[in-house]
Amino acid sequence: MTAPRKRPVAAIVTRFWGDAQGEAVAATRLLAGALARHADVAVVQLGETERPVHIDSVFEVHPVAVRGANPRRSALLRAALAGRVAKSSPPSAAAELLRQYAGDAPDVVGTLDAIAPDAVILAGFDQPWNLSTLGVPGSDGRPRVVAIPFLDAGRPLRSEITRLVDHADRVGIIHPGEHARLVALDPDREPDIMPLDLAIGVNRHAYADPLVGVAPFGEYALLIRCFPAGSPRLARSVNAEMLPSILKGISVAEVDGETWRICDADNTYVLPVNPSGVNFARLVARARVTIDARPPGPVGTITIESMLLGVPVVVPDDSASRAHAAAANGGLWYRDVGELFDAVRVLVHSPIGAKLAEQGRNYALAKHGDIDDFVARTAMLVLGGDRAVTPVQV
Amino acid sequence: MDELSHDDALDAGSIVEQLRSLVAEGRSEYPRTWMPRATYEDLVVDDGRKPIHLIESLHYLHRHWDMANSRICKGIGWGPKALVQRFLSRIVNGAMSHYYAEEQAFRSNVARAIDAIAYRVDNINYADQRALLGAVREDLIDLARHVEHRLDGGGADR
Repeated sequence: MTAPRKRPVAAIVTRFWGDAQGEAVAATRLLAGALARHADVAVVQLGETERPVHIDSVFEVHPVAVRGANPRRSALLRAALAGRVAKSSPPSAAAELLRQYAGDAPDVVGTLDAIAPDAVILAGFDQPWNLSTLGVPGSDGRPRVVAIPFLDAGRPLRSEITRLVDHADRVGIIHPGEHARLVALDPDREPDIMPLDLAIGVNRHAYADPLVGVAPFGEYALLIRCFPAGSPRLARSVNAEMLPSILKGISVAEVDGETWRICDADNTYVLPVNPSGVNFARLVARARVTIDARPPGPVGTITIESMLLGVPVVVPDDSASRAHAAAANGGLWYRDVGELFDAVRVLVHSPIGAKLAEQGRNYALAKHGDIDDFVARTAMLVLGGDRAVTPVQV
Repeated sequence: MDELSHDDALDAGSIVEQLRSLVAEGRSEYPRTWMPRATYEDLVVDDGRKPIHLIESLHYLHRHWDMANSRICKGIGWGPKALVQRFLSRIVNGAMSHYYAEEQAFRSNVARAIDAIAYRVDNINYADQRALLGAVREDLIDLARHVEHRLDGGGADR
């Protein structure tokens, strides 16, 4: 009788944890959940305090305080730097300021020593601690280090991404657009880059059960200004009043935080809101097109959900959603409100919409529709070897 | 839109480019106004706050806290009813004068306290915005110093 193999231990060092709403937090949790099939998962949560602010009933969480951080200033400076010419280096003064604003979390090192992980996942480019303590990639006794930089969760400088990647054995990417950006930084690391292709769970039966109140309005385009409620929202963007006159003959449903409504040229009906997201899936499933008018997120979850439900998307240019839509050929993208109108009209009033919907659905099902594939990919990326094929028995 | 391709496998990127080329040729159907993308939006998304000291109820309080005139019943005319009202008013006011004086002082202090709280809440409410603007100013000054340094022959960035 052979002794049971010891389960490997994986530690995720991240700011993306807790009860905050956000695509990056949801994606990191999804990653941890997939990894838990093959390993014991500990989370080193970087935050404002060492006290746990979020009781986690599933994972072992080690809160570590980041001292001296100033995220608001950092966000402002990054926004200012984002207006610069893309290929020019930012001023060293700005880079130094960003280093200061990131703060310092020296306790991560001791926490990781106590956990003694076989693999360390650096989720998010914001890692304000001494990564050199992980050792040199490839050296003996060092845990396998995987970086998942979340390039669109902020505006990282090239030096910040390089620092993360240089300390990693493998790099996981959240959306296809990250691949080209990472290869441009260091072409030699291309073999180490692996797509995570997050498996997004959607209610596949949502189409069978339409949302109450929607039917009398006939076909509609779905405009998302804020979802989930409490997430960032553009103060000035296209709204449900603008679209019916542009689309002519088709209604518009609008999701704006806790206010959902559907309207045509003459009538407006306030729709029921369900925080579980069931009603959202029903609304998406019956739409002719999903228009994402939110500030771009780092993952593009709703784009994937919409494509999985067979609905083409119209998404902001230069975003994670755009990367998914382009890779899938499942939607169009816009730079301004005029392009948004053009794209929606094309999808609604021509056969192109149905064709892109089909292409998007096929792509999304193949890439993001199978949870077992995702679990296997995650294990392969983080633990390496044949973990994906022969999961360790508990 | 009719000019767009309808091939078996559609390339979304080429559709977007075709749409943009139609716009570039001046064949767009809509006015193409620019809408700024999210930069500072998520930081100032709550900016539409109405100051508490502009609330109408507070202005009503300012106008009506002094009710001293309301308790003086002058009556209308010189008929018996008016004379009785004046007589009763004098008796009641005489008996209750201490209470009324106390109440008048209390009302004026309540109005002042609510006023002070409103302004204090407004100050707290806008402190973060002022801090934000201060941070922007300091960062811009730092960057300006850096630019001056570069113009004076300072080194490369990275």
